[in-house]
Amino acid sequence: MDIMNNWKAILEIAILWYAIYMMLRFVKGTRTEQLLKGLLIICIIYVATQQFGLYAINWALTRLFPISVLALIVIFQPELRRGLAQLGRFGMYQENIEVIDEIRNSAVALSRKKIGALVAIERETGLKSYIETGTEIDGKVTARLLTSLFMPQSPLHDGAVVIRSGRLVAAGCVLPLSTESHGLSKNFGMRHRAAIGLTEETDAVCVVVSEETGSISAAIGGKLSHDLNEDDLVKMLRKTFYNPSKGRIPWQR
Amino acid sequence: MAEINFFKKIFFKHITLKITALILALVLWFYIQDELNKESAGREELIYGKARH
Repeated sequence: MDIMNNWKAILEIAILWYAIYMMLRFVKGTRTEQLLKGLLIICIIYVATQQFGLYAINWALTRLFPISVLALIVIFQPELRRGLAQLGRFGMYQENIEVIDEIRNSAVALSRKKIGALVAIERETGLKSYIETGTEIDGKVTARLLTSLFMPQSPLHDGAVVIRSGRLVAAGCVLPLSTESHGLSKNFGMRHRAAIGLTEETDAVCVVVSEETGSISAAIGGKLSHDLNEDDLVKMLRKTFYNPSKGRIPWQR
Repeated sequence: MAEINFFKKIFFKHITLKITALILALVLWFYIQDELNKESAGREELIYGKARH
């Protein structure tokens, strides 16, 4: 009976651990993370007031608790909605294929017009520090949005667009420049150097459209593949982002 | 070797989050157990206490 109870306890703790771990991963790098930290501090204060016998503070916190539960639901409403939607979503692979296609369509359109572009796609390493240098967008990745962001008249055209978890999270981001020359031709400007720089420091993938030649390049692991046609780009992105052994695209965090 | 690296990667990836989640899960589980014990103790007192008086 005891063994059975122990197994049940282990199973319960394991389920709780997994749920909490997934929740923490889900909120990592978002504004919710800061809110949760604030909540944790309040919980610590609550326990401390109980331990040290500060009954007035404890009473106030106890009375505040029902209101704060309601407030939390209101504050976290977008995250709750997004989380529940993600829980019940099964067509993830199809969705990511669509994102790759949108990036391809935008790169081709920009290449034809010889408009420079730099798109960074986050994988396992977080790009939060670079996202913070730009303007937050959090929009659906569409070729029209990407193209319009890189139009020379757009205030956000100078800098990189960052894509995280299939969402266009920020534009006008400043990326680190590569310090190594890598035998780069003089034709490659700052965008290419920034793409190499970022992919040297992180596992992100960068897609670059040259302003001068209109050629499409992609940088992975600090290496730049240039003069890609649209099929090469799609093949490269699908190969990089879809790992059949894992059965999912790694940018799904 | 590839298998060892694979398991290493699975184990050490997001290790801080995993440890934090484990601590929180244990705290939460013990808290729930404590609350459940209190509840059943209260119920017992209600049933047997009434019977004694």
